[in-house]
Amino acid sequence: MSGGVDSSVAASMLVEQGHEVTGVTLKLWGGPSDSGCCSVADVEDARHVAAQLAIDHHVFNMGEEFEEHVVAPYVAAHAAGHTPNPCVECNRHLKFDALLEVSRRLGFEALATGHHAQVVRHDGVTELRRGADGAKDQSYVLSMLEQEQLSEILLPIGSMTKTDVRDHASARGLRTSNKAESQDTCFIESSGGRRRFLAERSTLHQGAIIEQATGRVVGSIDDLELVTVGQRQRLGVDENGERRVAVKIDIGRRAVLVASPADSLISEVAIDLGTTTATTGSLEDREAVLVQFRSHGEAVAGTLQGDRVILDTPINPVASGQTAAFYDPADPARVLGSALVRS
Amino acid sequence: MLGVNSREIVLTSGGTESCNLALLGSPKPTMVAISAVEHAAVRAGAERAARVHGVPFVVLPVTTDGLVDVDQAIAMITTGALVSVMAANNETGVLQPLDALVAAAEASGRTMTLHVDAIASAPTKDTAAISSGAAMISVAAQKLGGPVGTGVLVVRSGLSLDPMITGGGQEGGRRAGTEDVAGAVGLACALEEARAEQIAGAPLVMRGRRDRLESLLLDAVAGSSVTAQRSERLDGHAHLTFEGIRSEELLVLLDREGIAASAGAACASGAPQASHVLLAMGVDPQRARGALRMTLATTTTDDDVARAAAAVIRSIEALTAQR
Repeated sequence: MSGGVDSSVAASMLVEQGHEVTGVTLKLWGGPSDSGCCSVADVEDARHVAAQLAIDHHVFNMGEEFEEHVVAPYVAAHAAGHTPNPCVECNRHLKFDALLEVSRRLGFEALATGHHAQVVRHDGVTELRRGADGAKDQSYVLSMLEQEQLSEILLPIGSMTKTDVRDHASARGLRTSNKAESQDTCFIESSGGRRRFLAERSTLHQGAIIEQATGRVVGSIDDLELVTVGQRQRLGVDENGERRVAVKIDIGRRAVLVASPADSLISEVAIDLGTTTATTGSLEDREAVLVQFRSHGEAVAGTLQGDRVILDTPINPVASGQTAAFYDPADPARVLGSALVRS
Repeated sequence: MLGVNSREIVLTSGGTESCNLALLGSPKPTMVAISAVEHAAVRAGAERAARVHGVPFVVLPVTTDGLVDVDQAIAMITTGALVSVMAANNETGVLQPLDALVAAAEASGRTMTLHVDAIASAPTKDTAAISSGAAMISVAAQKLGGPVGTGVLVVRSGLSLDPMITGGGQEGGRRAGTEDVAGAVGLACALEEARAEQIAGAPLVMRGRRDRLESLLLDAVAGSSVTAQRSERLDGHAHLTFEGIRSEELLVLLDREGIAASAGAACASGAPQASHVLLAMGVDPQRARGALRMTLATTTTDDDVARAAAAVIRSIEALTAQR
């Protein structure tokens, strides 16, 4: 229970389904934050909803684990020129690992969250599927989950639209029914943003903007480590008046390589096989997949080949550190697995 | 009950206000010094007083037994210091060497204004017997079984104290606001009852039960230890650390069994955090995550002790079985 309406309604539905529910809020970040997630006010909201539902509520301090598995790696990844997704790592290591273990130790049979995604069980297998509300689908950030976790997870609101969720909450007078959604990374303040956060924890360097095709230096940028492969902002325009696209971050040379939009398109993406997960069974080599590279992006058709995803149609470049979520082309709502993109 | 005359008493809204008033209302000192194991109300009040007066804020270290190192403290205190050291720690129960501290200060020729947080000690230790070297003493009703929301700050005659709350000049101009008479009467009754129990020896009987509770746990749980076992501690405080256990999980299981216990302070959101008291004593931070404090009352029975011990043992077994 993060203090948001999704987890409030998830808890409410479980209570109405007759489960013995206990609400848990994780204290993950003790620093400044105005993201709308897990501040003292958010914990208060979660506690209040728990009281309205007449269920126990606990707050667990996982600040050390969060620092170790999410924040420190986030800083290190940026310093190395990658673009990490901390929410993915939080789910991988905290919510569906450390918290799942706590849940087992305390004798609970399942762990539920308010994520917009669905778990469907049949023949002893648990499928992970997109949420019913396409605009809110969060299967992407859950794509790393495998059977060991999925068999004990419940996602009560996955079959509902966001509107349904808010309606459920207001019909029951839950305090969080009209609460705004949390935006952005939970440990980064909106004022100052990533720049201030990373500048405080590491060094941001000036970098040269270099045309990939010619090797010409065409400009410079203040904070190389904030640049994301695929971005078109702050890199200037080329002689055709087109925005330059970042295609590679070269930390060693302190440079970002750029190309025109047309020249920046890629037909294959390299993945780190050590990070591959398979939702059920295993991912087959040569398997046809739909692959999604952003939280709310379109899934495109491709094929897994060893440590690469070969795309049917060229796409904009993808930053290393991002998650590639794989879906079944024959059943596009079904998650097949995930892997981290490498440079 | 407190061994002072009525003009030496300021009625407050509780322990936190008393501590804050002592620290913020005292005249400008040369420094503000507190022990490393003080309650957050004292720490916050002391830090603020130092900031407001523009003087150093100093923390007097404690030993691994949880006691202020008197020699080191005297070396760190400048004459004219405002010092705050508690009579007994609310988490571990360790009794601080106040008499030794006062004597050492006198012997060294240093003057200090000493505030004593006696909130945790008042139920089982005679507050009136606290060193006359203590210039100010804070007491709260709730630890005595009195009404929450009432406290007292003892301020020895001759000391000046500026009020935090100003208005109608009540409490000798030291704390404005219509006095909470009902609360004060409740506090006085609670102090009377505590004193009667002390005279009758009830705390000693309770101590026997506390010792038994700790023994049962030490015997049954591998990797358990009693905190500051070598120090003089309050008779009703049982404090242990359990290796490989997270106290927040233990508390959830104990709560299910109807046992209310604690593990140190919570932060503003209610999440547990490692006890600064244990860390100041040099307890390993991982070990400190497995801390458990249970407090007994003079009304706690042998049955209660047996039940509590069994619940803790069962809960720890459940937590370790899942590995």
